[in-house]
Amino acid sequence: MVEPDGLSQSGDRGDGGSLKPPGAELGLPAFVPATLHRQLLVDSVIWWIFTFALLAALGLSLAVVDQQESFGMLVCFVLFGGAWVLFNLTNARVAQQLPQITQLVESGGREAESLIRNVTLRRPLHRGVRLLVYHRMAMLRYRQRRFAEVVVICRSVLSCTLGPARQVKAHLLILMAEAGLECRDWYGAWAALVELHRCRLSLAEALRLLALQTRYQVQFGDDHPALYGIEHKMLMADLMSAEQCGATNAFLSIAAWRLNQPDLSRRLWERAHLLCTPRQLEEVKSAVMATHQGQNISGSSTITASSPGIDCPV
Amino acid sequence: MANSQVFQLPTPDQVADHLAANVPRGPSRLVSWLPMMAFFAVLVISLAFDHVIAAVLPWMALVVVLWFVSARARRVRRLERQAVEVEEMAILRYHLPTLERAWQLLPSLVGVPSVHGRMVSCIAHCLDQLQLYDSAILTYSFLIDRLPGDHDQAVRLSIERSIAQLQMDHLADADDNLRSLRGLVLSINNTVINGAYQFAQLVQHVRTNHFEDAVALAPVLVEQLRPLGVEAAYGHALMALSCHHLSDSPGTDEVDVWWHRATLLMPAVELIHRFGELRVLDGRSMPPGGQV
Repeated sequence: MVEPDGLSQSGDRGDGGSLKPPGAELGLPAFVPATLHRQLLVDSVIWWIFTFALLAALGLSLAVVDQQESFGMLVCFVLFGGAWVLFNLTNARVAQQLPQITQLVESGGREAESLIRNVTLRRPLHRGVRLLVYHRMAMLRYRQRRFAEVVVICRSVLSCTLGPARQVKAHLLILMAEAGLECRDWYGAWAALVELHRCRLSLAEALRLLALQTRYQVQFGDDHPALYGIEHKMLMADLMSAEQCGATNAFLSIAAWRLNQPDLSRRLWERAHLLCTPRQLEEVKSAVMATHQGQNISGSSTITASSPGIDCPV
Repeated sequence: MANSQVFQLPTPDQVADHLAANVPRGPSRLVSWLPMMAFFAVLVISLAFDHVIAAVLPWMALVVVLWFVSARARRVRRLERQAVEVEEMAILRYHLPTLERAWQLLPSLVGVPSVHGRMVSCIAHCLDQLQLYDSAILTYSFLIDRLPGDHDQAVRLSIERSIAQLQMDHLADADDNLRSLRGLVLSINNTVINGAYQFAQLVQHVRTNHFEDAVALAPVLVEQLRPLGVEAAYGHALMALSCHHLSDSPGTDEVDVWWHRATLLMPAVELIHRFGELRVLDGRSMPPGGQV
């Protein structure tokens, strides 16, 4: 039932760099999209074979019900039924492990890697269950700051028919947008943000979308849209975690500075200063700097290394 | 009370009765195994009798079992969805409607312990925010008694309970709680819990008029309260109040700086609503050129 072809050891990062950080060989190997598609195909073939066999047993047992072979067919049915129950039990067990995997991912432990590896190697799994496991893998890679791999995982999972895994579609898009911004996959981030606007979001997801969209707009110099409805955005940002709220305030402050609104900019920067550590504020500044120095996608760059908006609006 | 047309704020006795009547219980083993037992019983009957109905019976049993299992899963999913909606209302600070929904939802959650705990936690938070501190303390205790003592969530709830006790002037109880938590907080590497503990200590110093002890926390207070987000405003405001009580001249810069920090994060009216003693600071503003 188990075949160790689940994951390839030779991952390709897509940005030219080595995908595996030191020591990664001991845990979960790099993600390869083709492997996911192959696993899904094998799962589905096994599932249909089981189902057809079960239906055939049912048909035959009903057809020969008045004959001598009826007992044999019933035994056949019991065997196939047992295998079918076993298959579903495997899936149920993996589904039960998902919250445990999430907990391990959040604690950032090494156990998460080995558990995900073991689970992905099981087969057959329902499509939804397997995709949910890969969603946890994306979460793990995000925590490990392997952003290029996160983008690849999210893109591959989203390209599949999600079925019951559609509950995590919004979260996959958020991970993809966030990782895209981190690893400068601007188009991927933009596409994810657009798609997020089409999804029905929970409050937490809507808040993350607001934070990501603000960051994206400020990084690309779209300051007017970023500041549109600023009071409402600030109220919403107050519901975020401290770090996220502070970063959003800092991005808005930079936008206000560039639009020549020094009072608003100062107020926002002071709030950011209270909510973010100096290191987090540096990351905000360097994110804006990186976009305008390295990429200049929009062509509307007005910011330089010595720009007062970047040094500090206050 | 929950069935009345207009929801009325519960008294501590009503809260205690409601919680006692809706204690969580784990999923019944009998109910869990009942579908499988029924299925195998039907299978045995079908093997024992040589009749056309006996051949069809297992299939019918299988369909019933599948329907039963999926209906139960659907019910749990629906309850989880409702719980998430209630939690979102709490995050949006609609405390009274949240309390009403959580109160009404609780009886249907006794068979789903994890969601039940979240709802009781919501009720405790709303009671706290609505300043029904006696009821909040009861609810916090209900939760804390059902969690391992060193669990992160238990420590966080204990800190919240201590703050509620301080608000009710149960100073001795709060002091005992905070003392017992000190070692645990140091051992837990969680910045939010550390921040909440520092805030509880600050409230304790202010409530017991130990303003010198409160001001001694000032050098690291911004750093320590940072993980609390905008809720840190209460800490900054209480520090402003401590400086105000200690200063000879009421118009010192220190008071203004701390009050400015507090009102940057939260409107003064909200700060005063929770801590009435902050009224003396209302209307102060940062001196020109002051730095946060």
